[in-house]
Amino acid sequence: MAATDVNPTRMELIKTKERIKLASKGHKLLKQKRDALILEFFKILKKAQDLRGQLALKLSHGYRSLALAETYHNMQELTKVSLDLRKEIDIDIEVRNVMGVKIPNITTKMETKHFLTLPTYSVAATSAKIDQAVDDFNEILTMVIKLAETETAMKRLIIEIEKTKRRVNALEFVLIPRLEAETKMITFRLEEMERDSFVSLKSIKRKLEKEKKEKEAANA
Amino acid sequence: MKSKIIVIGDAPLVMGFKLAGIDDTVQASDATIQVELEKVLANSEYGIIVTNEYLLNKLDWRLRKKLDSIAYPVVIPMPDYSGKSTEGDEIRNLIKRALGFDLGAKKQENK
Repeated sequence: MAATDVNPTRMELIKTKERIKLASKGHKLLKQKRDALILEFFKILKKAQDLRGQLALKLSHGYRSLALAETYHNMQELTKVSLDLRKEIDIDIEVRNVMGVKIPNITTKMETKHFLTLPTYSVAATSAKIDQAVDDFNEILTMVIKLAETETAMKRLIIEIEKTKRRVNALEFVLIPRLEAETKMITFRLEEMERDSFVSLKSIKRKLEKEKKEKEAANA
Repeated sequence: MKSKIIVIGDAPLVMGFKLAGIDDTVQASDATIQVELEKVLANSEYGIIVTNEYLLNKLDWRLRKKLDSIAYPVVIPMPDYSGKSTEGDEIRNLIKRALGFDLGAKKQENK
């Protein structure tokens, strides 16, 4: 809607002023939301610390040691060993709500099914290649759990930040200026109309007086 | 909410996580990933789903979008053998777009 096709009425003026008030209130709130989200984002970013890159590195290591283990022992043997390594992993996921963004909050408790810290598979029948692969993937597992929390939270937050930012900017640079232009237009129009009517009133009055004088002159 | 980890992926990924002590694993390929993932999503027992990045890219866009928008379960894509990952780049791009500066680039400078 261009500023020119508004009705220049007092009612419209009141309405537009009301809208400006509402829009600036919304703008303020959204700005606060954006700031809060960014704060939260940086908190998580500190925790994340390039976890992705480390994971990629570790994973390529892990794949290599796994391939080596597979060549020394066969698939069946690895599967057998893995049965001995089963762990009870308790993951507690709570969904936290930050300014309307749902973020997973993960706490984990890892327990091996047996109360031994040393590997429980046969030492004689397996080689160090398996140990290496197991160690690598254990590390990867802890990294993945850490990543699970930070990465999704980061992604969610950043998407929401972008949305909020867009809204803030739309209000600040589009809607509010337009409404202000409208009110300006309406006030100018109203003033103009007032002057118009003032002038016409004056001229009518003058005419009437002139007629009156003429009548008096005719009577006299 | 108590939950478990499940690994859906190709043979090496599944084997690796088996060695790390994960019990629930599903081996999937390009063709079966969609069905398997939907099956896992239907089961609310699993809180973290670990999968291959390249398999995730094979999914129907509708399912991908759903994965991006839900908070539970959490899906973690794992990079390739080469260690290359588009996931990290994606987040970096998002940050760049939303905040107006490149966080990743700064880190590399510091190195």
